[in-house]
Order: sequence, then C-alpha cells, then structure tokens
Amino acid sequence: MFQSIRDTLPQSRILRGLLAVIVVSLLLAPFIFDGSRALDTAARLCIFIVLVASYDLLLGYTGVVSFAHTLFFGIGAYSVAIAFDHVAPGFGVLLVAVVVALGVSTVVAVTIGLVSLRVKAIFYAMITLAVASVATVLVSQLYLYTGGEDGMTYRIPRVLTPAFKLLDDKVLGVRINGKLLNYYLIFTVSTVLFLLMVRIVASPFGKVLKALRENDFRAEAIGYTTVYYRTAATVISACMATLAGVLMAIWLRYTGPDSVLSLNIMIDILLMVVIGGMGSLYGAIIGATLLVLARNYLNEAMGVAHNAFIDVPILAELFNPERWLLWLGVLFVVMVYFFPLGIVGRLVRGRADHG
Amino acid sequence: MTANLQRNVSETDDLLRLTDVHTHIGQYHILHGVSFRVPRNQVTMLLGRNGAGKTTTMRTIMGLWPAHSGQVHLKDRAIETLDTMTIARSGVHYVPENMGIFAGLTVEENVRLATRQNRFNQDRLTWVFGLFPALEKFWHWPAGQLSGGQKQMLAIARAIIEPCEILLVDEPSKGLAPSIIESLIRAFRELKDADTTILMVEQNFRMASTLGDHVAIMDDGCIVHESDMASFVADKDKQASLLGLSMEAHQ
Repeated sequence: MFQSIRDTLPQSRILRGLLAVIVVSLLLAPFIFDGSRALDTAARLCIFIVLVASYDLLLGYTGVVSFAHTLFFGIGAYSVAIAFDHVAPGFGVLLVAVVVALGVSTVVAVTIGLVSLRVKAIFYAMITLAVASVATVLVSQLYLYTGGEDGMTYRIPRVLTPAFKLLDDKVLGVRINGKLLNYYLIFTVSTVLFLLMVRIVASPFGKVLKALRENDFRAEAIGYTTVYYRTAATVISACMATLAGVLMAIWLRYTGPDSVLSLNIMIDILLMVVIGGMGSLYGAIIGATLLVLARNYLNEAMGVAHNAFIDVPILAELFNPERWLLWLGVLFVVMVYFFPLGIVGRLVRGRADHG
Repeated sequence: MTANLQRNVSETDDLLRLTDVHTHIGQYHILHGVSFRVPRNQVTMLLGRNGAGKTTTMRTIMGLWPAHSGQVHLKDRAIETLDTMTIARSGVHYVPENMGIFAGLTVEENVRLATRQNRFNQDRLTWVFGLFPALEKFWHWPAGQLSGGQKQMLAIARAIIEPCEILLVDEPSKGLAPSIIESLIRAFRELKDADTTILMVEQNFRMASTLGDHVAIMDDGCIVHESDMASFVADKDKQASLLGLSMEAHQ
C-alpha cells in the first residue's frame, strides 16, 4: 500500500519541498506557532485539505461539477451536532452519528448519481445546486433539531476540551490538554483520509475514473460503464466530505449553516481545487493552504504594508486592510493567469516539458 | 439495395453479420439498411469514400450509436440491443479512429485497463511486445507523449491484450508515416496468421488489399458491393467505379 502511495508523489522537487513544509508545519503546529488562532487555522486547514481532495476526486478525476459537496459536509457536521446536543457528548454516540451520517450521505449520493449522471454536465450542476439549496432551507425550517439560522453550540467529549489536562507540566512550552488531543485527532484522521484517497486514485478504480474523464466513449468501448463508476466516485467523495464535516463539528463545537452549508464554502472549495490543480490530490494541499492562509492572514499582512506606506498617499490606501478582499480577488486572477493548470499542474507540466 | 449485393463468398461460418441496419444520429439518418458479413478467422475490409458511414457502422456494432432497426449478430447472438459494455465483454474489441488512447495514463495503465482482473497474462504481453517493441521501451511513459504511430500501436495493443472474438479497427493508418504503416501491416499480418477475425475500416487501399480476405464497400450509408478481396483487386473497373481509384495509382 505504502509503495503505491509513494509512486503517486509528484516528481517535481519544488512541489515535494512545498508539501513537506506544509505537512511538517501542520504536524508541529501546536509547538511552532503561538496562540489558539494559529492552532485553529491549522485544524481548519487539515479539514479543508480532506474536503478539497474529496471534491477533486469528483471534479478532477471524473470531470463532474457538483455544487452539493457542502451538503455532504453539512450532513457529517449536523449528525455529530444533533447527536451531541440531543443525546450525550460521548465517543459511542459519535460513532453512531458517523455511521448514520455516512449512511445518509451514501443514499443521497447514490440517488443524485443515478438520477443525474445520465444528464449533461450543466444540468447535473444545476440539480446539485438545487439539492444543496433545499438542504439549507431544510436546516432553517427544522430549527427544533438544527438550531435554524443560529446553528447549534454543544458539548464534546471532555477529553477533547481545554479543561482536560493530560500532563501537569508543559512540553516545549505547550500545555498538553484536550485541545491539543483534539487537534491531533483532527490531524491524524485527516492524514488517514487523505492517504486513503491517494490510494483510491492509484488503484485500478482510479485509473478507470481517469479514463472516463478523458473519454467516456472509449472507456465504455473497452467494457466500463460510466454511470456505475461515476456513481461510485460520487459516493466515495460524499463520504469523505461527510467525515470532514464530522471533524469540523468536533473542532468548532458549533455547527450552523454558515460554517458548513453556505455557498461561500462551496466557492472556496472550487477555488482551492482550481488554484491547487485539478486532477491531483496533492494540489488540494497547496490550494487549501494558500486560500486558508490568505483568508486568515492577508488582512494582517496588508495592515503591515499599510503601516509601512503610511506616508505614501495612494499606496497607503491601496494596502488598507479593509481592502483585503480586493487583493484576494487580484491574487485569484494572477493565479489563474500564470497557473491555468493550477500550481501542481504547472509544476508537473513544467517538469514534463523539460524532461 | 440489399438485393443487388454481390455475394461471391460462402455465407457459412460468419462471426458477425449485419442485416438491414439503420442508424440515426440525432435527426440525421446515417445508415440506410446496411447488410454485410464478417467471416470467421478472416480480415474483412470496410471501404468507401469519406462520409459513406464506415465509422458509424463500427460504432453501431459497438453499441455506441445504437441501431434504430435491423439486426447485428455476433455468432448466433443478437447484440444490437445490448449496451456497449456488454458488447465489449462479449469479445468485440474496438480500436477507434484518431489513436484512441487515454493520454493522461501511462502506456502500462492504458493496456492494463483492458485486462481482465487487472492482471497481465505474461505470455500474451510478451507476444504484444513482440508485435510492438516500442511499447515495451515506453511502458512507463505517459501515453500522451508517444508519437502518432506509437499511439496507434498502443490502441491496438489495448484491444488485443486479451483474446477476443473479433477486432474492430477504424482507420489504423490515418495520419501515419509510410514506415509506420509498414510496421502496422506486419503486426496485422501476424494477428491474421493467429486466426484473429478482424473488421477494418481503411482508406489506404494498398494496406487494405494486402491484408484483406473479404471486402465490403459502402456509399451513402449502404453496402454497394461485397466480395472476396482477391476478385475485387482483380477487377480494376469495379475499383474505379466504386472507389474512384486503381491499384496502380495507390501503390
């Protein structure tokens, strides 16, 4: 298994270096970055890497454009939230919630897949957008169970909260408490899920998906049924997004429409896939890192630039931290212009051109 | 039209038989009652000018553009209502035109896709490498980086890596250099010697006449002539009237 995963690693040294820096930074995040905000960013990044990779499994490997990915993310998060809020915050309850969430996601994904994958791409995208909108309305209407627009705040197992102390003394200046355990739970599960997706892509099933993406006529002519494989990919992708939702619910201790179901998250996922590079799961790591960091720290970076250019009238205004969304937009335009295949796609293509 | 067909060869032991097949693509009626036979263990050439309906016939046999009416029999089994996957698994292997490979996969992955249980039969693989040595050399290369001839070899290798009932090949020499065409002719001759039943669409008449045992000529979505290749090659007037060529002009 590990050999086949190793074979999928990108050949580009720059890319390998970048990935190594990101993974090591996430692994040691509690010890090398100060403050709870950095830890929160690292945990969200781990979750988004799984979420974006699972979307790439659908978009990049099968060419299917879906807007219902946040629906599966939401199913995972709301299952845990409802279970912890209405039953009890325990690991047994969590396990049941995960199983139920995966079951619901599978049924929804199979239904969407079988009904919609026979239609043309644009209609499939429209159907998934409609289903996602229905889910948002349902969450709002079923407020007795979901908390409606306000969402739900709930307790999680005590061992995952800051109140739980594993050691009395600090290690490398860091308190070893439930929050740290929670982070490493998120990191470990995310790593396992990501490697599982890499393994799936490297498997014969993954090769068929790639073949279908390139030319479904040809793939059918050698004996593969498009609908069967694309539905299977939709289910796997949905289940991975569901598990990412579970992790998000555990980390945030809050689940609401804005945190897991909103169209903004769907657009973020799309941008992360496009920036990282479609059709490469490792692109998900790069894309998610860039966008999560930009969303969290571009504002501050611009504040530093604003202070540096405070005496230069136009530049000071241009770098006003309130204009951070404008610069995020500029960043996207630049990325799409210089990296039309995404960062990973560009680095891989660049190597192939020179090789 | 069918009644006017020349049937100079025995009709026994046909592996594939099309009877009065009509195919529509959208609002267009492309095949107008196509009927011909593909004898077992022989190479049948489907010839005709551009737009005659040859590729549509191949795709109809594969179920990619299903027949609107008529019958397609593989041995004694009617396959015109089956889906493409079932037809492919029934032993009808297809090499589409324009070097139909998966460019994003490696040569090995392309060939492996067509194997049963995702495993190679080593003897068969060695035989394929013997036919197309270039594939062994570039086994781990992305297929998109191969030359045109190598891509065509790969498409054929993918179709023959498992034993098949019949091989459908659509214009294998299209866009290839003469030296590559020669190596393809050698490979097809070896396949023919191994008693492979082949139905081939081909524009290169020299290749068609060299390899073919049996020939069917199409025009305007119909079969206008069917005979053994030797008698068709001998009849220069018929070649000129049906294909607008003579052997000398294409040698």
